[in-house]
Amino acid sequence: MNTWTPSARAVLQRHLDQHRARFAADGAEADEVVADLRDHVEREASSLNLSVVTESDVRRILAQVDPSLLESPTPPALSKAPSPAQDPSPPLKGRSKKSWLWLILRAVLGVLLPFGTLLFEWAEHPSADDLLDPIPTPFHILLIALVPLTNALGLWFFERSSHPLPRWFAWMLSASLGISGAYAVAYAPITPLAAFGIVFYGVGLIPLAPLIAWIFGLCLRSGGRKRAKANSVHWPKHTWTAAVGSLLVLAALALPEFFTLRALREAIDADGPADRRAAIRHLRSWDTHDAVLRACYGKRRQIWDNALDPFENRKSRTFTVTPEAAQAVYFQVTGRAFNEVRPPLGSLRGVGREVFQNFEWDPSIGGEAVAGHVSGLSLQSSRLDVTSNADDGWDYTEWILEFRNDHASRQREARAEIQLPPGGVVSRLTLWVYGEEREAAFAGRGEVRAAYQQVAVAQRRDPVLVTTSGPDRVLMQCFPVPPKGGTMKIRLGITAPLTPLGAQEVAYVWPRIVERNFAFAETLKHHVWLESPQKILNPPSAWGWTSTGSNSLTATIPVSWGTHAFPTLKLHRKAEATSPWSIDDRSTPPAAVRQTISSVTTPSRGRLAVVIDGGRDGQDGWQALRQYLASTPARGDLRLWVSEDGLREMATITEGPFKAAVEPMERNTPQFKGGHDPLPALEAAWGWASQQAGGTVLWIHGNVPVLLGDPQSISQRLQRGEATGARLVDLQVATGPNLAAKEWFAQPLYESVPRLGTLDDDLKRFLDTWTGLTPEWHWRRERSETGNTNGPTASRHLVRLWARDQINQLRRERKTTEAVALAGRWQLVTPVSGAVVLETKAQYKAAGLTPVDPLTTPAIVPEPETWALLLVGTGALILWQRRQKRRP
Amino acid sequence: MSDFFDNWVVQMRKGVLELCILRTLSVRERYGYELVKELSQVPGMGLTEGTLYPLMSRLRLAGLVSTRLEESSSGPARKYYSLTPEGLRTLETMNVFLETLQHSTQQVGVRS
Repeated sequence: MNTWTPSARAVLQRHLDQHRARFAADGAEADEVVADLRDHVEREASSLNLSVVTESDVRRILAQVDPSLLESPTPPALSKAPSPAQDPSPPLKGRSKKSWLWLILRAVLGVLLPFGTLLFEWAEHPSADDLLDPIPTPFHILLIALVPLTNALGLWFFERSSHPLPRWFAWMLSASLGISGAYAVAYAPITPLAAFGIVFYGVGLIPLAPLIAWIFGLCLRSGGRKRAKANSVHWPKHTWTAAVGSLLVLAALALPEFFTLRALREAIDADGPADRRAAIRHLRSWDTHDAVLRACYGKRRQIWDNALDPFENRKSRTFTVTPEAAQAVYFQVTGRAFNEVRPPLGSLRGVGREVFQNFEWDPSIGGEAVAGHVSGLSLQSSRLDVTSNADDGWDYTEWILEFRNDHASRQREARAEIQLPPGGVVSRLTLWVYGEEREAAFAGRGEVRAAYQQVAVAQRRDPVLVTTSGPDRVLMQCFPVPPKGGTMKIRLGITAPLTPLGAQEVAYVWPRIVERNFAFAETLKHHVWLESPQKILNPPSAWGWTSTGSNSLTATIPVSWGTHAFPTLKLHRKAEATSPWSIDDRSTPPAAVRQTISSVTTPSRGRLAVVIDGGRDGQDGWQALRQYLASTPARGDLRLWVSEDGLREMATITEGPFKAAVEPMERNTPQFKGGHDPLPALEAAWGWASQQAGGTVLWIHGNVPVLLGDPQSISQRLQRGEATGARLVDLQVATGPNLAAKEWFAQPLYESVPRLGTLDDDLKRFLDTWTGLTPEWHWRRERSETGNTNGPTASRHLVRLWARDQINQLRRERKTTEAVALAGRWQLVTPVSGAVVLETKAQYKAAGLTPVDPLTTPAIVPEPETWALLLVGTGALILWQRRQKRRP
Repeated sequence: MSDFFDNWVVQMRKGVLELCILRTLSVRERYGYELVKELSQVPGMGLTEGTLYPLMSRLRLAGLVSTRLEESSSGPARKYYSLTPEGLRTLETMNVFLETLQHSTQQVGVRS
């Protein structure tokens, strides 16, 4: 053996390399010839017994072997230039133009395309949005990055020299082939489409990137093997194990999602309810809810739909997971609405960017559901102005909301379900169009929705619509919020009664957003100003309220993710201010509307059936009820159910103390997981409570974002059982959607417990009045055409509140036309009417609607016209009364 | 005269070099160094390694010879060359052709 100096090696390689083109021109494989000659020279050096081989030795040997090797070669004629296949690695120096182009093409296809595709998918995730998510975790990014890295290294090795490739590279290349091959297979269904797209439209290269990278890797492997052979070295054996290893890693990363989606599909479409419940239980126990959440947005991975088929025994062979079905499962698994939580963030998908940033299409535009969050849309500013009169028992809130759309191209519809103060009604709706205020038209619910859909969805102009959406709830929707930072500003005016807590105390409850399809801007703050002639008993300090006077509060309240709830304010009222009145001058004949406050202590009412939600949010209700029962002296018939996966009867008290139910409750505390169908428990409870007159079903529950059963069974009971059936009292623990209430709130036997404070307080208030332990305070408003006009006059908000009550009564009596007419006169959003703002007079005319006169709308500051109208109305009433008296 | 002759010799060598290689390999397989040493000693061939190796590569690409690596105790692995069946068939055809050509060229002078 001899030792070669580095310069000797370099000289040998240089002399051999400079003849590559000649070898190739002779029709030989340049790599092979160079390797053979190197081997030959090394053997010659060995045969000469040189201990150290130097540059001069090399030159001497080369001169013996072939003197022409020491000369610079004559450039080959262009016509004899080697083809790339024959000579993949000409030296960079002296490269032909064709060779340069070949090198660039290989670099683009093998390195830049897969790397660029990875970067593009990471930044914009077009595949995740429309096809499948190739990089759900950071590990996937690392694995995929191995492919362009390997290809770049391979290219470099081939360009640098004719030496055999390192052994470790062979293993790396094999692992890379496994990864690119796996993705090539994953994209195989659309590969023909992508190829078609490239040929005819010039797009579609990205789906082909894995396949191209895989082919490039195969070429590298083939070249590497040839080079090894040419250099008399062995290509490592068993490198296929590296490919298998990379596939196993990919499979291991996919397993959690595989099993999650399999369970998701089982939960939706398994043959029997037991199988479906088992799948739900599995999903509850796994922390893989993000996969279900993605499916809620229609972002399932199509690949799994095919891959899962062999593992399932499904009813339908054409089954796919729809977003609606996934949303129902998400609720059953987590107990939350899918749009209640922030869409999952991609692990490394840019700072602060959401996975569904490009959730382009909003299928719910113009519909009656809030549905999922849309990208780019946010609530930018919020201003709440409140005026109230505790003595007269009313309040009026104006809520100005400004939405902003930062999406690059899509117009957006902002949708939100808003909880009004108890007994509240929307009495004003304004839209700013080009900086000007446009008031709404109030008409039948169907009319305004049709006008909105025509203008918003068809003409894509500027309308806003408000309709009722459950007890004391409205659905607000406005469209289009323009893209690229465009804004849309609306105002909701809400007239509501102050909730009486006693003869000298009333409560103001803030309106709040319970469900929305937009984000809250990071800079969003609620600017709040509340004024009252009467003293505010509990001015809160938590959010830095400042008092601008004896009876005014202002605050700027930052908003975090999630729905907000402001503390209920208690106001002092004079006990003697019992019967203010106002004028209904919009009806014929005009009449006085008088409001009185009274209290009623109800004796025992019959059976009390309590149904508690066994889901995630039910635990608070359970604790509040247990605490109440432990301390109440009440007695009677009480029965307690828990709605779980099925129903469970917990306790029965017959003519006994309610507190006896505490012991079985503590013995059988539910787990409170997920979300459940309450209907079986409600049906059982209603049946039992209705066996005696005056029965009540108290339903304590969390959000109901989806209906897991058919609500008609309860609707029927609440409608047909009006004479003798039990009433259903709805106490919602959490602030959020309640689809069940939306179905039932119009029925005569349905009522909801207003949420004024803590759950303990609200439950105690209801049950104490139900059991007759404390009196129940309530307002009563009556319209009297011949009534006196003595006593204090009050705001016409009293008339609006009377009209609201009257519309509900007319609706129960099926006098819908009269109800719609009354709602139109007093400009109210009720179950039979809605409000819509359109952009132009022509649009109003085409829809057969008339916008209200701005002078007739309520305002936060009483304008002079209000008092003028009051005077005119009073005069008209007096004249009408005199005319009546003159009549024989 | 001498230039002409030199060119003629180059052409002749080119023509028969492949034949010599194939004939050598038809006896038994040889590794590269051994083959070069053997052929370079053939009188009149004037063969250099710089000529032989490209030729071997070309023959391999043409499918006339095949190669295999064999570990060697005395140094790096040896690359053995052997005739493929195609190479053997080609050699037989070349032999026949050369024999005919040789006979024909000898007859050309006699006839005239």
